[in-house]
Amino acid sequence: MNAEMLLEAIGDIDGWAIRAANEDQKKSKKWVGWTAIAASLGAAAILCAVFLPRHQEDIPSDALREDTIGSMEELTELYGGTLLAENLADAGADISAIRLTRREDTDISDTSGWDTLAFTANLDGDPVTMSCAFNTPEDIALPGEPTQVAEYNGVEVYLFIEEFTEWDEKYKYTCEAIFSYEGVRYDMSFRLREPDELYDFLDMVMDISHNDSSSDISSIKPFDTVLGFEDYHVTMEQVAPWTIVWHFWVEMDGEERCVAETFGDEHSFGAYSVDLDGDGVPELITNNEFGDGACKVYVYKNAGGEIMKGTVSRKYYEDELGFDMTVGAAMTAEEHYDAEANEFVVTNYGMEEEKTVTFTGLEHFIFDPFEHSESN
Amino acid sequence: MTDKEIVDLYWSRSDDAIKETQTKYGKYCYSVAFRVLNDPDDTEEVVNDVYLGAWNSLPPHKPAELSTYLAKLTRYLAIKKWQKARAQKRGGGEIALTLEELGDCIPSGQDPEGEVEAGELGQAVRGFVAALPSNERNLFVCRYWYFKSIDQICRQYGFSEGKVKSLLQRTRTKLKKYLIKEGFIHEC
Repeated sequence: MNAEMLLEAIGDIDGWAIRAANEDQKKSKKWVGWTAIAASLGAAAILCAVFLPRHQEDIPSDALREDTIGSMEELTELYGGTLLAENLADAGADISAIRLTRREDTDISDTSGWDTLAFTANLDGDPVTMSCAFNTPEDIALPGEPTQVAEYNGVEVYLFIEEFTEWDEKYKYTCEAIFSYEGVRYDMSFRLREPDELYDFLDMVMDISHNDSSSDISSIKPFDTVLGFEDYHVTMEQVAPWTIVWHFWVEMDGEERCVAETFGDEHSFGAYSVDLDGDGVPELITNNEFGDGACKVYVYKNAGGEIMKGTVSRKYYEDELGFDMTVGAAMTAEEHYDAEANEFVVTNYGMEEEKTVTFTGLEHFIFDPFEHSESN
Repeated sequence: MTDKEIVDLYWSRSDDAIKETQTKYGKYCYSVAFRVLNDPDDTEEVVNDVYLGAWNSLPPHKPAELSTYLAKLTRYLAIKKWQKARAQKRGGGEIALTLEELGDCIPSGQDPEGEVEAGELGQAVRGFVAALPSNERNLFVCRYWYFKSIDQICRQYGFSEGKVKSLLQRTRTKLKKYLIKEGFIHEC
């Protein structure tokens, strides 16, 4: 082995570490925002609570020393509490190194002097690293904008998922998970062949079993009511790489029912609660993005207890706008709801002349009863 | 334009993809490549190769962080270019100095051409870097990933030259111990 091989290997470090080093110079000015998902939920109350400064280390690096801890048993004896690394070990991970960075002027048994505990592990042949930072502020400093935020038993987990560059044949994605649990900031890094492996891994480390679907990853309340229901919750489900479906659940007739859904990529949550027909019960308007980028609007409506789903009528497109809606036609009616202007915007692509029209209200929608079908 | 919009342009095979990449990340890619090559012509060539590489790889790739994707591609191509230039006895920027420094991590007596599985070494180094305290990690990445000069790092962090050099030295010593422990090199 030579230095050049080492230099090339350094090229393989995680994207978040590369970003963090590049961004660190701006840290006195820059505040780190949350995910685009949270941002698009439009909940100012959520956002103002979570704009966080980057964490400044309290202990200078030159006051620290490093020790190697021989085993998980030794660690448990020293730390005296529960660290989630135990779940890794219980799941059969081979923990090859436990490195403790602590204040040089304290004894190793004095956990108040512990700064970082780093685990290098191998789980069924896959590399995993876990870093536990102690004495950190409750606010979690993030190295950038997360791609997703998951919630496990009240613990918010910030996920940074990247698709690998072409020179890794075994894994398609790399994932960084950052969260705070019982006063310890966890920073886990692992690789994935398929995106769904992410949730299996988090289930294992967080030691939490989901009731029905391992891919429900978040619960959020963006509106006061959904279709008139105050008691509701939203779940996120990843149904394909980069495709998320958000489900809106309420209790109806004693059972939990999904009354609306919206889909798009991980950045594109687009649902709005607006009373369009003036009946006092707001409709749920959703902008949905297909895998090829095409967008379509669905409007959900509570019609006296029956949940209806509306789409823009083909008749409106064909008769009034002259759009060619023949199946297989090159034309695409690109639809979206502009919340600021409270109007629907439709652009026809593929016709000789591109044309955009706007309309308000529900006049051009056709409604049918909504039946939720399980996607997994 | 957002990263996602630029990636969408690649996916729709729009000529604007490269133009938008150049506008948003051209300087960034240039600076990453220039630190390796220290030659404007070679750097320009690498940056153009990066655009071509992005055009050829998006799709099938759809990176969530376009900047990191481009930076990794740039570093990889710049090192390849540097290796080629070195064989022709020309060029060489900060990379030559960083290589000397990284030589500290390899005790004498190692077989310089000794077989190391690149993926395993990459994985080990990745684990090592991820677990470093943030100050040390950022300095290490600035120096050995971005190939920033000691002077640039001092200005970036407001540290003295002595402190930067001492922290980097400390991290290299840790890395050496780690590589020995993981069996990539042996102690002499």
